Amino acid sequence: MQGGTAGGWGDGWTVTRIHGRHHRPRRHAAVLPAWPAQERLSADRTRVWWKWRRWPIKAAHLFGEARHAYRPVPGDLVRVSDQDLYAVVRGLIAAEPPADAASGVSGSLSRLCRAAVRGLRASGAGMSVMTGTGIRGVTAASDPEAERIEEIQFTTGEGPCLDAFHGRRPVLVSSLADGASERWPGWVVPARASGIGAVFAIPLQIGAARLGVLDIFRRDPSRLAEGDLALALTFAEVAVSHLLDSQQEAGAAGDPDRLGESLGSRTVLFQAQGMVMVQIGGSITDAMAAIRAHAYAEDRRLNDVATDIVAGRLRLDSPRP
Amino acid sequence: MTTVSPQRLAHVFVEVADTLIDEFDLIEFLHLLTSRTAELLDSSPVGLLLADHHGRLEFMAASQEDVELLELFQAQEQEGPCFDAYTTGEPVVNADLGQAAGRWPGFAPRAVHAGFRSVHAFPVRLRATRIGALNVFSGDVGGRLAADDIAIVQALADIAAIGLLQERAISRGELLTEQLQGALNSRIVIEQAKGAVAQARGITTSEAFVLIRGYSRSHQVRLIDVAQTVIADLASISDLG
Repeated sequence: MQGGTAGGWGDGWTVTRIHGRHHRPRRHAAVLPAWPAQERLSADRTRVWWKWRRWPIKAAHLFGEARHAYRPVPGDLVRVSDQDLYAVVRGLIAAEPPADAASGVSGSLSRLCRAAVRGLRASGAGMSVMTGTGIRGVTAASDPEAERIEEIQFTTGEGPCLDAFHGRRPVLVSSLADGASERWPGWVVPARASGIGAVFAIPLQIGAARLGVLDIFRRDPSRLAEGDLALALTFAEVAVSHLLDSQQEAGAAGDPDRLGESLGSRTVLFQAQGMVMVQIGGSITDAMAAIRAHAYAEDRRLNDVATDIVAGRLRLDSPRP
Repeated sequence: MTTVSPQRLAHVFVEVADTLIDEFDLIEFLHLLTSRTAELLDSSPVGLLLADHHGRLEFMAASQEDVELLELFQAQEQEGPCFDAYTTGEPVVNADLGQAAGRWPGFAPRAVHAGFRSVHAFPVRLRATRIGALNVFSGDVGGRLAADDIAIVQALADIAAIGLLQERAISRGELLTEQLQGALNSRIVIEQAKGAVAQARGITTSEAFVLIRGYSRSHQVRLIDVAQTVIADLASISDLG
């Protein structure tokens, strides 16, 4: 791992590259928009001011050219810390034009798909939100062609997306020419005809909660490099958070900065999810959404809420004061 | 120094190298690795942690599932001997826990409280690729591993890494990633199930784990399958505990 110190941040974060083989620091290498929500800036000035103090970023990075300053090309530098990949994903999403407000969850997930295409040098990305039994609900895609290829998996009843969902783990196929046509004969033919050479299906899940799958399509057969895999998994995490928040009105404007907050043990968070599931008599997914909504409403950290739940100091089935 | 016979040692190495079986289950394999390592070290507790895509270490398997011990393995997400071994790629051996409060302020006092005197961690790696760390605790006074034991345990971790990384890199590089991600998610399911059982029975999550594990053993069902059932339909296993 090559490291260095990013100029301009002024606090000595270690930086490294995630894409490509060559270390080519560039002038704007460390200029990452740290959070996406352009639309939220005016809505919550107080919080923005707080962030300004925390993230010493020039105004231009927020309101102007920085939206387009970050291009993930080989040699780019990104910060390495626990929250880095979330920051990269947020930056990539922010760089995409906002979705039409009327398009709802599907619109914002399509924006995420477009960001994933750019960040992972893919040719397309599709997302299917599914019920526990694999019935397809909300869909999103980077473009109509990706949507069509995604759709074919459900009409033929086969494909990497369905395997990833039922297998509860990623399905990574670096070349559709190698054995994929035996695995998914009905899907591979139209996929290859559409110019797809590789597919990477990442489940949208946290433990037993399964929400769907994110499919990344590439034109040329190629392995997903380690950094790209980590980025793809982080896109999936962001999509899961978005879906959970969209379930609850209180969490509809969920704070993207909460992603990746990991001080304290994540084990406690998972245990709290199981406890709340029983408290509310719902599914594990309902429990996750309820914990997040509570944290937003009370403006507390997820881990603090989870710790209180596991310690028995907080129940989510009793009405809020 | 290990008292295991050379024949037994050779057998263990062959066993750990065998990762090509059909229906390979990563968690079961890691459990075998920790059990065999413990056997070589006179039953010292052994655990294994794997890193997720953010580089956070997650507990995967242990030679004995003592609840206090599990919590010690889990406490090393961001600090501790496993975290050090994983991030540097070098083993941490014979670390005196009584003197380690400065180095690991969160981890060391808990380990001492649990009755351990020294700790060791071995990276699970193949050349530049690191996937996790193997953790050994010693309770006896001194608790030092002999140089031969250190070499044997690291060799065992290396053999496991070669089995997992090398073969899969040749056949299909993505396979290990798929298995690793699946296994990491399985551990999350187990934690969620502990929470659900704890809430339903009015017991602690540690006690809930004992119930889930007991059910898994008495019904000969994998731990992950019991956990999935707990989340999907807790009422269906009313004889849990």
